[in-house]
Amino acid sequence: MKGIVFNILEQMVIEKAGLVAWDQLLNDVQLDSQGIYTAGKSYPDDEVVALATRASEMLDIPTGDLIKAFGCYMFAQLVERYPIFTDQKTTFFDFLKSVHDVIHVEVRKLYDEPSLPDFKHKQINDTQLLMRYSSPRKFCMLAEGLIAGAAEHYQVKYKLDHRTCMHQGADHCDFLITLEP
Amino acid sequence: MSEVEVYQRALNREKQARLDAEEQLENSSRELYKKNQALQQQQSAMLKNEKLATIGMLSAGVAHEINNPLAVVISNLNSLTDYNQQLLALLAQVQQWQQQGQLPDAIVAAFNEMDADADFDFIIEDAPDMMADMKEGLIRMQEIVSNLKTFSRTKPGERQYIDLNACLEASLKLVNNEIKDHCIVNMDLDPSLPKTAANNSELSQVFMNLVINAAHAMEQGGRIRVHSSHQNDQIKIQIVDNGTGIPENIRKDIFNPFFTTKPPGHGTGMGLSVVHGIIKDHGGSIGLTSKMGVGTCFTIRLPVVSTQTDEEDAAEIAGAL
Ligand code: HEM
Repeated sequence: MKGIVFNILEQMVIEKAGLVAWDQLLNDVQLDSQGIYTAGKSYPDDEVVALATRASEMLDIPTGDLIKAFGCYMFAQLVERYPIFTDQKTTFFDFLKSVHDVIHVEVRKLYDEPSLPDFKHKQINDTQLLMRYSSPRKFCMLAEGLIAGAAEHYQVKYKLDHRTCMHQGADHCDFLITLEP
Repeated sequence: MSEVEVYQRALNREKQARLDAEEQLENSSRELYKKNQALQQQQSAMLKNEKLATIGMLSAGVAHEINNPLAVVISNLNSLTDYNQQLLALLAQVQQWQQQGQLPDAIVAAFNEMDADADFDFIIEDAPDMMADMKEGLIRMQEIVSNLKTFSRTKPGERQYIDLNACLEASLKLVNNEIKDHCIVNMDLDPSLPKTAANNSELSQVFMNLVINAAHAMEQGGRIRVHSSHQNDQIKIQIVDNGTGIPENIRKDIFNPFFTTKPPGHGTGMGLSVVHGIIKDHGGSIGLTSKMGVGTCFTIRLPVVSTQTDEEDAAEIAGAL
């Protein structure tokens, strides 16, 4: 995971629970990086997992929910840093379809060897989009959160059916996204 | 644990993160710089090749156009030299008759009048020299045209299966007279150098050119090292001198036709462009490294090419047994 993800996580924890809580969190998990993160550098994926697991214990929220909430927060932060991607797409679905072929392609130019997931998508009809996620990191909850963040940005209501999941032994996750009026 | 300590730690993390980021920035700047340089080098090599190819096409055209009229001029000049000799003989005869008083007065008077205008003695003396100079100039032109053809030739010369060490040795013998007074030549030849399909006389021309150039770079004397080696399917030949070196600003032009550092009238500037053309024809490459005051190293790389048929292989094996 790139430092930028940790930077945003840190920002969220400090914003919601304060600097003392973040300091406590770092103290509890004892990471190789010592919590020093630079946006463009890579750090072990385990560190995100360790931080999220400990944070969910502290806050008494299931880890999946916490990661999803983080995804949502991360989306807003990414848009703040890179407004061009949402500026270029006028609808929620068009934006989601550009994540793999445009946004993450651009990420590869800006970051040295990032670890990015693979997305395939299929527009079923005007109100339904199927996104297929696969990644050795199995961060599908993060993806769900990012999608939630995007929905907030585009001010749409939707339902997400996480019908197939890598955590249940599948080799990909399927998100069936249905727009709601 | 006081809140101040918490902030202190946060500050330290920020500071360290900033230092890490700066280091990363420096590393990627360095990387970028290297890549940029490699790109520039590639680009200039490409430009150079393109330029040489364009010059090659242009000179092939020029060589072709000049060649035919030049042949006519040379052949006519040969005839004219004969005619001229006959006319001069006639003139000499007339002068002799005149001296012997065998010509009527009217003819002598007319002859003297013409002589006063033309100065026949001077013509008799000067004409053969002029003819000879013209011929020399034309032959020089013919050489240039033929070199241009070698440089820009589209059809490669005939290939034989040759030992480049032997070719190197023979070439050095041919130029020995020209260089032996002030240069020591050291040969360091790879005894297991594979044979390759190549044109012996062309490569010989390459080696002679390079060795003579090296000798010219060492007017005060010096050492030329000739080195052959091979790795996998590639032969490497190096000709190294400890002469004056080639200034950086002219290295890129050195393989261009007509490029010369010698004063006008000394050398046509075709030598290295011919070398380049021949090596390229053989599917190889030639490059140089040079350091001012230390010397120059020309490196030729040639692919090992086999043209031998199975029967030839069999005959060679049978011969060796
Ligand atoms: C709804 C939109 C998006 C989705 C679903 C999405 C999905 C993901 C996921 C799941 C990951 C984690 C890596 C993995 O699972 O293998 C990731 C990483 C990342 N994404 Fe996105 N993404 C979205 C939008 C964006 C945007 C707008 C940017 C802005 C530049 C962005 C930049 C990144 C970066 C920098 C990483 C980290 C790469 C690394 O750690 O090496 N993504 N994305």
